[in-house]
Amino acid sequence: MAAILGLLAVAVGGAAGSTARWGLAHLWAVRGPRREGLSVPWATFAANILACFALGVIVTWFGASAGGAGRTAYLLLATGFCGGLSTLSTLALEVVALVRGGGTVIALGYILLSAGSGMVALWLGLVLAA
Amino acid sequence: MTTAPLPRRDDPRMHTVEMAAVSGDLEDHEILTSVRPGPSTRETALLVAAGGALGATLRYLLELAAPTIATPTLVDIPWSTWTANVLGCLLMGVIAGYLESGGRAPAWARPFLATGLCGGFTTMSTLVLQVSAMIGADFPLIALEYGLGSAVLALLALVVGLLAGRILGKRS
Repeated sequence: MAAILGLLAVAVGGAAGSTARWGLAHLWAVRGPRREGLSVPWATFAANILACFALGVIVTWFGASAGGAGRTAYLLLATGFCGGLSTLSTLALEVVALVRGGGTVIALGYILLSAGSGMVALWLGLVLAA
Repeated sequence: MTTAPLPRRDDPRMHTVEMAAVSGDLEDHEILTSVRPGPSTRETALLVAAGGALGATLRYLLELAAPTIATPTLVDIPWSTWTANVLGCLLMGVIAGYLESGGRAPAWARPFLATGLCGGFTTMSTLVLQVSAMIGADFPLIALEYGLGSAVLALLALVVGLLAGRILGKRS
């Protein structure tokens, strides 16, 4: 029973996180600024950074829970939501697309920016939640 | 190995969702939604949600199957996360390569499989947490190895997937 609840929590969280990630991409595509040329995919970047920040908070609140509601909350919010909100596959695809489009420098900058900002965001989440 | 020249800007292969995302070009978005009428926005969201639910659940099942043991003196590489990330990128590459080379697929395939499933299956937040935990536990070299390794393998898997997908796409 607990196992099923755990799976459900991850599934619901994953659905919500992925939809949020898509929503950001959709909003950015429709409402974002028009630019000529290649640029950093800000929607994916935002989703990833927000997920890292949120994970920092959730780990602080529920990371140590061994079972019960705390564990379920962790599965819902961390494994599910943050796992769905963040993505490595979309990032990798975008990096390759940038390189193929002639923007290798932007691609490299995008990787470094994502990694660095992600770690800072995580740390901020950990610190602010404590 | 000979590589094909980079496609020109007006090459239809450049008009993918990914290029639209990185180029900030409204034209691409308009092209995608007008030339190929697909699922409505609401339907797309539901497809993404379903794929994301499945992807996250699969990632969790992997984690249960191969849990990471970490103690103060020994840090394990989180193989389940690593596998999920690399496999997810491989699949993403296959889908992208297949679609961009003219492969036929139902309209629900991209939002469900790519944005949803691959996006939910792979994770950057967990990766960042794990790398940070390794650094915090005073294993900076393992952190670098794992972080860099994940990035490199993910990109490699994506490219391999792209190539495989293109072969499949041209056949279809």
